[in-house]
Amino acid sequence: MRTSRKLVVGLAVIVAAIGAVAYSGIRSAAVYYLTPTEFAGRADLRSAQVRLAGTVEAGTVRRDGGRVTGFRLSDGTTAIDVRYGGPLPDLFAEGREVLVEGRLRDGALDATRVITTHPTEYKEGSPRP
Amino acid sequence: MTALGSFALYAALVVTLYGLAAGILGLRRRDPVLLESSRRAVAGWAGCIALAAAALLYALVTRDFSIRFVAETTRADLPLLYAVTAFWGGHAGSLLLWALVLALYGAVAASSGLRRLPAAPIVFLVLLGTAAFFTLILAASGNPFEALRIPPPDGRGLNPLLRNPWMAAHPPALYLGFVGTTVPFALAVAALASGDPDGATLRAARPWVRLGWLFLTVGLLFGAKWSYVVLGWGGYWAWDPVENAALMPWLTGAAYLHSVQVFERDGTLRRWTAGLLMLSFALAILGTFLTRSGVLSSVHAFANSSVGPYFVVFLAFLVAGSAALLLRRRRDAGAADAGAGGQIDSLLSREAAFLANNVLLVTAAGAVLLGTLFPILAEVVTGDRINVGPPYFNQVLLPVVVLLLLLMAVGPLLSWRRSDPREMGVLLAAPGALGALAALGGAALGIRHPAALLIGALCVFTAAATVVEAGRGAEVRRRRGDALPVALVRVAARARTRYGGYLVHLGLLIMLAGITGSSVFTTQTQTALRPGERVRLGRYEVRYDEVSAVEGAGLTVTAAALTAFDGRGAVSLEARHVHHRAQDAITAEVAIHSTWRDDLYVVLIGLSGDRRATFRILLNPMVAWLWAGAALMVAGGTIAALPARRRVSPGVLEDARQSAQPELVR
Repeated sequence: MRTSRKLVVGLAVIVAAIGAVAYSGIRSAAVYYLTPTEFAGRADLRSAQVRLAGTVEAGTVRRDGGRVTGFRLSDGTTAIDVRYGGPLPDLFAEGREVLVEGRLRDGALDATRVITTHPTEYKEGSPRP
Repeated sequence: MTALGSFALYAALVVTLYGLAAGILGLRRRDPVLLESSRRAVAGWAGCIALAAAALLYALVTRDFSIRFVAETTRADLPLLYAVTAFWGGHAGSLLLWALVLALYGAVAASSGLRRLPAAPIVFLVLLGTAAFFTLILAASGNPFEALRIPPPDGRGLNPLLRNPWMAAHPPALYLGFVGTTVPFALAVAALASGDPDGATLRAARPWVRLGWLFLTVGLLFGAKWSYVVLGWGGYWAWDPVENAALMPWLTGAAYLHSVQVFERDGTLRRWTAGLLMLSFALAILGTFLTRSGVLSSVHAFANSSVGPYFVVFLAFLVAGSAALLLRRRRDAGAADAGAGGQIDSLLSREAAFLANNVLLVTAAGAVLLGTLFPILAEVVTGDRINVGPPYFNQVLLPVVVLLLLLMAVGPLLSWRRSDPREMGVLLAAPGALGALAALGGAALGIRHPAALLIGALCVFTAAATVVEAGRGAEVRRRRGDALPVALVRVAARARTRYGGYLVHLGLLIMLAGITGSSVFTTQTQTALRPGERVRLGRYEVRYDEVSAVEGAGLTVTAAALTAFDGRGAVSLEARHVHHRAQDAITAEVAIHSTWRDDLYVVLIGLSGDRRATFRILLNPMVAWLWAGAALMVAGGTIAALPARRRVSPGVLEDARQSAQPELVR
C-alpha cells in the first residue's frame, strides 16, 4: 500500500505540474481575434498578441524592391497600419480578406504572420470531420 | 430516390425505437423472445441505414439535382470518384456516413460472439440508443434527401479543396475510428451495469478498440497528408480544433490499449479501464459535435445550427450516465478493485509503468481538450473571441512526450509485480549509451535546439530499448537452434499483439523524430522569378523554367515547371494552380521532392503579366520519416488487430499469451 501511495503522489505531482504549465501556457498563448474597429475600442489589449481580420486596403501596399513591407488593414470603418516583411500567403492581394497576427507598437501592428482566410473551413457542413 | 431514402430513414427510426422498447421490456420481464427481437432490431436498423446510403449514393452518381444535397455537392462534369466521395462532402451526408459506419459495426456486433455474453442485451440497448440519436438528427435536421422544388440545371459542385484522393479517403477512415468507439462503449456500460463478475464483457472490447484505434490512426494520417499536399502552408498539423477532435480519442484509446493489459492479467483497474472506453466515446461524440455544429467558428453559429442542441443534450446524457455507472460501482466493488494503484507492489513493475502511461496519456488528452474548448468557453463567458495557437500545445505536450518516451523504453522491459533494478540497468546500458551518443552526435553536427536534442536522443534510446526487449524473446528460441530472423518471426507470431505493439512503438518513434526534425529545422524563402532565373535554398538551387496552362473538365491547370539541382543531379518539379471554374476558386498543388534527408516543397503563389512567377519554397527536414514511421505504425497495428486464428474467446487467448511470456523470456 505504501508503494501505491508513493506512485499516486508522484503521478499527482506530475499531473499538477503539467496542469500548471497548461494554465500559464493558455494565458500567454491565447490570441484575441478582433476586427480593427473592435481592437481600437479595447484599451486592455494594447500590448496583447491579437489576430485582426480585415481586407488589404487598396493602394496601401508598401514595397521595397518587390518585397512587401507593409499595408493598411481595414474593416470598412477603421483601418490600422501593418508592418510586415515575412512570407505572404497564397493569393495575397489588395482587397483580399486576410488575418494578421501581431502586437501593437508605435501605433502600428507589428505582424508576425499574415494568412488568408479559408472561408469554407468552419462552416456548418464543413467537409472536415 | 428521395422517397426511398426518406422512407428508409423513417423506417430506421421506427426500428430503433422498437428495438429500444423491446430491449428494455425484455430486461424487465427477463423475456428471451423480446431480447432476441431487440438484437435483431440492431441488424434491421443497419439494413435500413444501408438502404438510405445506397439511395444517396445512387442519387449522387446519377446526379439527381432534384435533391438539395446532390445539387450542392456535385456537378455534371465532376469525375465519378468525386461524385461518390461527395457523399461526405457536405453536412447531411457526413451524418449519414456516421450512421452507416455505426450500422456496419452494429451488424457485425449483433451477429458476432458478443451476443453470447450474458450482458449482451445491454450492449444492444446502448447501440440502439446511439443509433436512435443519429437517426433522429438525420431525419429531423440533416435529411440528405431534402428535395428542391425547382431542380437546377446543374449542381454547385464539390468544394475544390476536397478534390484530392487523401481527402476522399480521410473521412471514411476517421469515421471508422470515431464510430469504432461505440461498441467498446456499449461493452463498458454493459460490464458496469451487469457487474460482469468474470470480466468477459470488458475484455471483449479489446479487439474492437484495436481495430477502431487503427482506423483512427489512418484517418489522422490521411488528414495530415492532405493538409501537407493541398493547403500549401508547408505543415501537416496545425493544432486546429478539427484535428484535435480526432487526436483526443486517439490518446484515450491508446491509454485503454495499455491499461487493459493490467486488467486482463489480474482484474484490477477495472473501473478505470471501463472509464477510458466511456471517455473515448464521449470524446468521439464531442469531436463530431465540434465539427458538425459550427460552434468552432462562433458560439453564435452554434445557436443557429440545427444539430448543435441535439448533440449537447446527448453528450450531457452520456457523460452523466457514464459518471453515474462509474460511481455506483464504487460501493459494491470488492477489495481487488479498490482503485488505481490498489495492488501495486513496486514502482519498478510493469503495472506501475502502465498506470503512469495512462495518467500521462489522459493528461495529454485533457490538455488538448482545454486548448480546444478554451476559446469556446471564453467566448461564452467574456464575449471575446480567442484563438489558442500551437505554442500552447507544444509547451504543454513537450514534458508529457518526454516522460512517455522514457516509459516506452523502460515499461516493456519491466516484469509484472517487481523487477530487479540491476537487471534493468544491464538491459538499458546499451540503449542508454546509444541515446547519449545520438545527443553528442547531434550537438557535434551543430544542433543547438535543446528540445530537439532531447527528443532525438530519447527516440534513439527508446527504439534501442524496444529492440532489446523484442530480441530477448527471440534469443531464447535462437539458443534452441533457430536462426535469429526465424526465431524472431516465431516468437512474434506467438505473441502477435505484443510484437505488433512494439512495431507501433518503433513507428511512433520514427514519426516523432520526423515531426521534431521538420518542425524545428524548417527553412523557407519566398521569391519572384522570371523563366531561367534561379534561387538557392539549403543544398538546392531551384530554376524556374516555364509556365503552361491546360484546360480540363471544369478546371484550368496552370503549371510552373521548375528544375532543382543539388550538386549531383537535377530533378524536375511542377507546382500547379488549379482554377475551378464553377466555384471560381483556386487551389494549389504543391510540388514536393522527397528524400530521407528533407522535402523540397515548392508552392506557386502567383503569376504576374510579365511572366514573373512568385514561389514559396520550403526545405522541410525528415518529413519522409514521418510517413515511413506512420506506415510502420499502421503495419504494427494491423498485425495486432488481425483476428485470432483459433476460435477461443479473445480474452482467454490473451491471458494465455501474457502468462506464457515470462517463461519465454527467462
